Amino acid sequence: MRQSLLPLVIVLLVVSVLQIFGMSRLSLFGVSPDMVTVMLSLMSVYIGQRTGMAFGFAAGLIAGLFSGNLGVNLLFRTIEGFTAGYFHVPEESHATKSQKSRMLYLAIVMASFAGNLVFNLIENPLGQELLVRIFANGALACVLNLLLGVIVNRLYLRKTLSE
Amino acid sequence: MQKFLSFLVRHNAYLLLLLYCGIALLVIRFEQDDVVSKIRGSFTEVGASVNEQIVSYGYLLNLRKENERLMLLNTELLSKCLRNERMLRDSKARSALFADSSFDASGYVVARVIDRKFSARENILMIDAGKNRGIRPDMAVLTPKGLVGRVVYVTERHAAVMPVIHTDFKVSVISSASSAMGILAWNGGAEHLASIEHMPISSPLKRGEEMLTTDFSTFAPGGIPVGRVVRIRPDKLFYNIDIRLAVDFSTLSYVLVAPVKRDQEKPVLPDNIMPQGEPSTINPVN
Repeated sequence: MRQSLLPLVIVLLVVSVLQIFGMSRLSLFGVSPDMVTVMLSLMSVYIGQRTGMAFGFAAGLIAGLFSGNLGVNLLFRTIEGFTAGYFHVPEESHATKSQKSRMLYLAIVMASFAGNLVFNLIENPLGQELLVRIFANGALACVLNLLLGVIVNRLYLRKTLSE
Repeated sequence: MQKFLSFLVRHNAYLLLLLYCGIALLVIRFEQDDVVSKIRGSFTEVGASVNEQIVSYGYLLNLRKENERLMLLNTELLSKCLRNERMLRDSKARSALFADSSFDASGYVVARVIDRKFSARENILMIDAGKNRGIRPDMAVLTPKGLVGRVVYVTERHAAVMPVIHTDFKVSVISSASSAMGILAWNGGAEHLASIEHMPISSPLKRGEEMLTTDFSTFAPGGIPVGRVVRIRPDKLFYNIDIRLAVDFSTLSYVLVAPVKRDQEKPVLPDNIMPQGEPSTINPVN
């Protein structure tokens, strides 16, 4: 288990750094696609809720240390991992590729919304109305992350994970 | 106890969630604490330097666009600078025009020289005042220093001026000291020198005397300085006189256009007054 998690830890680290220094610049109405959320959803769906949560906590730690918003990042990343864990597909499951993909997409959407909700309840960096922050930004974050998830799934994950 | 804890961790994700959230909330609570803020500060420092690097790479990638933007900005600034310099120069030239307190410029139209065609024999000036400002042909053009020329052609907003240094230009002049009279003409060549024709050798003219326009010119008001005698050479009947013109045509930028002379209609003498058989030595002078 530890051996199989190590590459994921490295990938998480790389993805977090890429998110902080790269993807966060691709902002649309103040919302940017979140690679970390997609990865956490992926882990929660295919490995499990607790692992997703642990990785969420770690990702929050990395992001928080770099962004200067440690507590909030820890909290909402953990919540994302936890939420995505509800769509966990056990290893022994006989789910088809499309069913797995569907679960992944649902996990991404729900995790994005939950993470966004928690973040926006505590923080308001753009000085927007609460409802706008929660619903408009939340919906936009869901769409962007789902798009990212679909791209990642289509390009790479679908084949490797089904195997 | 250990088994109980591991059981809880393995089977109860909620407990783990509570633990993580608890830590997160504690961090939020003590985020402003010295230790946490120091750790966070050092990471922020690292993040900032990485960001700076990324931004500098981005800057390098956008260098061409940035260069083009700066080039445009430079062009704009340069044109503004040139415009301001020109305005300053114009303003200086205008104030120089009125600097001579002995010259009353009221009633005169101030015009800017906008073009000039100077050649060895034919020179024409273009000024930025035309019919719209009351300019008419045959008006005298001058500066407080002296006579410049006469208006020969007028459009709505511009006028052409035949300057003193034009081979067709002639004006009667009189010496301020000895009242000796002659006709100013320019025969080409140096633009600061002209000659006076038909000055009889009996005239008491001396070098250095100032020459002014006479009152009987059809276009020029009397008493406008024209130049100063620099050389006198006697010929058979008349002197050959060179005068240094009062106006420096090479630096001319603003001029005054004199109001039109009232008695423009010069009385024409009947032919029979002139003695028969003797050719007139006096050319028709404007």
